[in-house]
Amino acid sequence: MDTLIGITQFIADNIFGQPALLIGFIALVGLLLQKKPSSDVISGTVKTVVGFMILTRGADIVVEALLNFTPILQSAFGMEVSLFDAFAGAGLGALTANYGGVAALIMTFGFLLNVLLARFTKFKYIYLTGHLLWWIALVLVAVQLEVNPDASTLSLVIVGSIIAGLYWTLQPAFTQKYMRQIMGGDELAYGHTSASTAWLSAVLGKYVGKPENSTEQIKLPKWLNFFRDVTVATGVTIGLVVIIAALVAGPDNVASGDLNYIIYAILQGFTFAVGIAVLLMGVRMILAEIVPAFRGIAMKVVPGAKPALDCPIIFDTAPTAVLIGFLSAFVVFMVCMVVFGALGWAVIVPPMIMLFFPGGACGVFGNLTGGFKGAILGGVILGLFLAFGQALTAPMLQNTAPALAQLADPDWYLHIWIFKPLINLFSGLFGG
Amino acid sequence: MIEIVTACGVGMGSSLLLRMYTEDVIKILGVEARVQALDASQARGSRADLILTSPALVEVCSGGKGEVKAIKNFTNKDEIRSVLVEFFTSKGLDVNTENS
Repeated sequence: MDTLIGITQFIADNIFGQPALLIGFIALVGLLLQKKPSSDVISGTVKTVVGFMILTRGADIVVEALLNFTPILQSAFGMEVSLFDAFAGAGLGALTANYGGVAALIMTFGFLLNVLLARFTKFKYIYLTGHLLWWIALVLVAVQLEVNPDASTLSLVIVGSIIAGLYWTLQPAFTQKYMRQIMGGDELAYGHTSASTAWLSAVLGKYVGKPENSTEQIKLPKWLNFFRDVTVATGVTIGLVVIIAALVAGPDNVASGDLNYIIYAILQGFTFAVGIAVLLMGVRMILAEIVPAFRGIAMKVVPGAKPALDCPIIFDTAPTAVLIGFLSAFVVFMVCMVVFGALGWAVIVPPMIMLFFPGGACGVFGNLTGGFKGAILGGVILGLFLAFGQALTAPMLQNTAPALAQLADPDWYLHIWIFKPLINLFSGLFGG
Repeated sequence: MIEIVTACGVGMGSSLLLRMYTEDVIKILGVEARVQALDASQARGSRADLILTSPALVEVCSGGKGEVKAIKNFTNKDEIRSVLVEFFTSKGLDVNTENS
């Protein structure tokens, strides 16, 4: 008996307590279930474990860059340089390293709940946008820890899986009315955390314009395609913002050490792009092994399932609407950045990936009901949502990972805004 | 072994999806090929024989070793199939086109 407890304890500490190995274990099971050849099973498992470790390092780089260039932005706006209170606990790397395993369990059980709901209810949607399975799970861990830092693994996993499973099942149902019109069929659903703003763009689009005046009648200059490469777009945009901020702040207010302050600013902007690229590489390596297994399970269990997919799936139905939505979101966000800063209210950082992809999606949804004016409106809605979202949400994640607010899509903010007070209420009712 | 890369803007969502559908098609065609999902810039730098991506990203993916082909609808197996059959045949590979 003692040995049994010993073995259980050993496994709990050394496998389930180590997120990288736990995720590797989930991938291993998935690969075995798919009956892959043993060489694929081994390489897939190793890639998942390494991918997770890469993801953790990427998060550290993002936070390091944020910590270095946020003070420059603050002093450019004449705000008191406080090393950004919201970043005091800057722990995206720590959150991932300590609670990544919990997030992986939420991802797994939340997905299984999604499969069960699709099997037994009229909502036949299976959420296959892998990176958002991961990020929503992590956001739900962070929200629960903000309410109760000592929450047990069990309650984190149960509450997180229920919320996530419901969201992944119901969100695609919510947007399907418009997806049917965009895709010209009912086979595919929209599975992306920009759903709230995309939906709103289509609902409000009809009040500003007519679908006949479609974006696709407009020709846009070719150089705009430059924004399609997110690493370049992130590096250049953040680089420019930090350079301008450094020029305004002056050399004395930039802690550049021996380096010229402008060069230092450029390097910090690029470091941020590096962090995002590394982070994405880690996520990509994990998903490449896990998502096909999830899909295999779902397709077996749920006949007639409709996959809910990542936002670019609609991009080729209206490529010009994508760029218009992005541009209008970008302009609105930059205006907000300057206004928030000038008012001394908050420093926000342009999230290029979130401006491009959800911005593009909102453009397509807006164009559907309101033509090019609808596409512009879609971008405006998203730009405002991201700007206010970042400013309001970073402080709400002060004790866990405020940097999550810089990586967030609209629905992440909604999860945080809705569930933080709600979980707080419930834990109050049941005495914590 | 033929190396295929599926590419999208970030290399996580739609490229992974295209990878899964491409793998389904390859299985039916009975060709030995490995498929990997990457972002557009990585795809250009990869050693792949064939890069599949959306029409908007063809230019970003071009310039490397691999041949670049556009797929308009990532979930349309017929479209993927016709592109793959054309490519495999041009490489002189045997393609099973019977049971589709």
